[in-house]
Amino acid sequence: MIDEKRDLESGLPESAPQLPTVGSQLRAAREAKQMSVGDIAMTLKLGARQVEALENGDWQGLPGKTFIRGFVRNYARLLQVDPAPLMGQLDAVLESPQQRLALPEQKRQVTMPQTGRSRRSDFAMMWAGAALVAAAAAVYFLWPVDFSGLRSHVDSLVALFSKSDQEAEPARAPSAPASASQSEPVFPPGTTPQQVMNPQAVVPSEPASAPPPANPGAAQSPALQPLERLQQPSAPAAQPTQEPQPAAAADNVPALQFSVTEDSWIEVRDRHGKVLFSQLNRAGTEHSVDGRGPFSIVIGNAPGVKLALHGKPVDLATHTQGNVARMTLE
Amino acid sequence: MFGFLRSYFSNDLAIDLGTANTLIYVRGKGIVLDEPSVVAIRLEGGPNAKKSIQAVGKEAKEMLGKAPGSITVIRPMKDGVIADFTVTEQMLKQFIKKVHDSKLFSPSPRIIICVPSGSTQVERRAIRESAIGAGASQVYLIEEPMAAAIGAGLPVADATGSMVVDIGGGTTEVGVIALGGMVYAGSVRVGGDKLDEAIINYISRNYGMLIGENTAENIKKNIGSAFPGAEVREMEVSGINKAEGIPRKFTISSNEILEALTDPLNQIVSAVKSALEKTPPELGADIAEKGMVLTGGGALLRDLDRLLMEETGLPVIVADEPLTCVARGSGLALEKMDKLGSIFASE
Repeated sequence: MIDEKRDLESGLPESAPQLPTVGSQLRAAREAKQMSVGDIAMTLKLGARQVEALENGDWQGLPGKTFIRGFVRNYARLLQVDPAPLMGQLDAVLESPQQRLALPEQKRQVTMPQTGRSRRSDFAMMWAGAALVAAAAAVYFLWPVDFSGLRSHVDSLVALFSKSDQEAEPARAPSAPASASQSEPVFPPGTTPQQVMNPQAVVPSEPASAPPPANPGAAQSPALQPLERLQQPSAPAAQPTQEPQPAAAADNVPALQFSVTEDSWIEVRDRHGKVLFSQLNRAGTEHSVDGRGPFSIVIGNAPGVKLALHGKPVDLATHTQGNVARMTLE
Repeated sequence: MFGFLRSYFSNDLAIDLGTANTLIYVRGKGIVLDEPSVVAIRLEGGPNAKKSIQAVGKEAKEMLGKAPGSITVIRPMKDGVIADFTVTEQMLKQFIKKVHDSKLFSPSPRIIICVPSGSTQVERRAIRESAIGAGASQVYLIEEPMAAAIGAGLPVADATGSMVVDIGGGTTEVGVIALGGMVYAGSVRVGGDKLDEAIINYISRNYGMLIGENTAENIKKNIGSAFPGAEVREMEVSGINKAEGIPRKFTISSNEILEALTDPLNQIVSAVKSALEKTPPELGADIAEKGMVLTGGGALLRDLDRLLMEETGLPVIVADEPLTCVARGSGLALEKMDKLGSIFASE
């Protein structure tokens, strides 16, 4: 058996020509002590195969650098050889097994997906948070724009409404006598020739739109007379001006007239709910309110107030409850 | 997220907070501190006596057993766990300050700290809290056998069983590790301290002499052995003769120390044996092939590997630089901390 090993040993120095290998040093020491591989294996609790692998430098058959170093150190100590130089030699030989010890990283990376999943969800949370912040910022910066846009939109809608009301009212006018009075201020009463001249342009539409129904007899003449006057500019101006006056006078009458006999509080709102008149009125005063009906009227001390709508007295008693009269008048 | 920024302000640390010694490993630098876990506290006189730290580490250890009444020398760690919470926290703070270069920012490092595998939840929490109290921003716990195995260079992540026996100052940890996890972990509260204690008791009993802890430790280091060897060494020791009350010198031999150490060593051997009993057969086969690795200061006890070899019939090797294995292992874990999570212990 020893002869066989001698044969192996003679082959070994060729690979490491300068120094005898760790294994051959150990074997030489063992042989100097006249110990067999079996003795060594018995003492170090190694297999005989492992001892031979150590002596032959067959590192592949041994469990790894840490263990090889430990085995060699134990072996050297058993043979009373200084292990330090052997360790130095081993370090040079055993570099590749050291890399094998770096495997832990790879293995641990494989175990990562579990925590990776949670990290991914963390990322999802982060993105969700970022998106929320972005959305909040967008709302914050864009809201005023939207708002003003909305407001202008509303304004245009309101304008459209009021326009359509204006257009709708004249159509309604013949049946609704009150509405005629509202359209009247649009057409000046025409007391002076220049003012009367203007209606000329409007004339074609005028008959269709709004002949004042209050006094149809007079209405025909103011509509026609300007034409006549245009044809006869030298005609006396006084006459035509006198003739429409009753109608004009009727038109000039404010929508609402309050004559206050006792201290009373009066509030008038127009069709849009806008306050036209709201104040405490002293006894003996008179107030007139103009605007577009229907008016919603609240009169505080109703018995002390007389109300005229377009010159016609309104019976407040029918609207009075307690001392307060509430009504809506067209 | 701001890890790259943090590294400018604070270095991450791995701490082997041992019963006997505390080692600190700084990321990228290696082990920068290796000091005894001893604190000397000065008590100032007066009714509201103020306590201040007189010394920590080596300096404090030299005072052990020699301090006057105004100075108390404390070993705040006992049996691998915290015995005095406040003092441990202060000691850690001092050590961290020592290894922290930047004076501009107060240190707030991430810390990996070792705990005995047999420690209870309360003990682990105490260690974690004291590290946070010492200024750590985050604390990771790693079990000592795992750190020791990594530090000894065992293939912990491979599908092969590795057995490590870490004999520290307060505890002996036995771990069987495979695939990056602990298959078996056992811990007995026997370590260097118990060996010292056994020597003190033996000398007191057989020689009628009182010796101090440091003397006992010196005896253990110089002539202590775990297995009867060929040569018998002797050492001259001084102590106080109990009968006379006078300091005397006497000589003690390694065989006597071996006898003194028999009891605690048997406990270590039985811990190893019970670990082997509970190891699954496949891993047991790996261990039979490779043997077990001894780490920790206890591994330096002469012929302890021989004792374990004879008792178990398995190959036993002592790791390179066994004293720093745990610190190096936790340091290695620190270097790769961001990549691995499985090796850290929960509370």
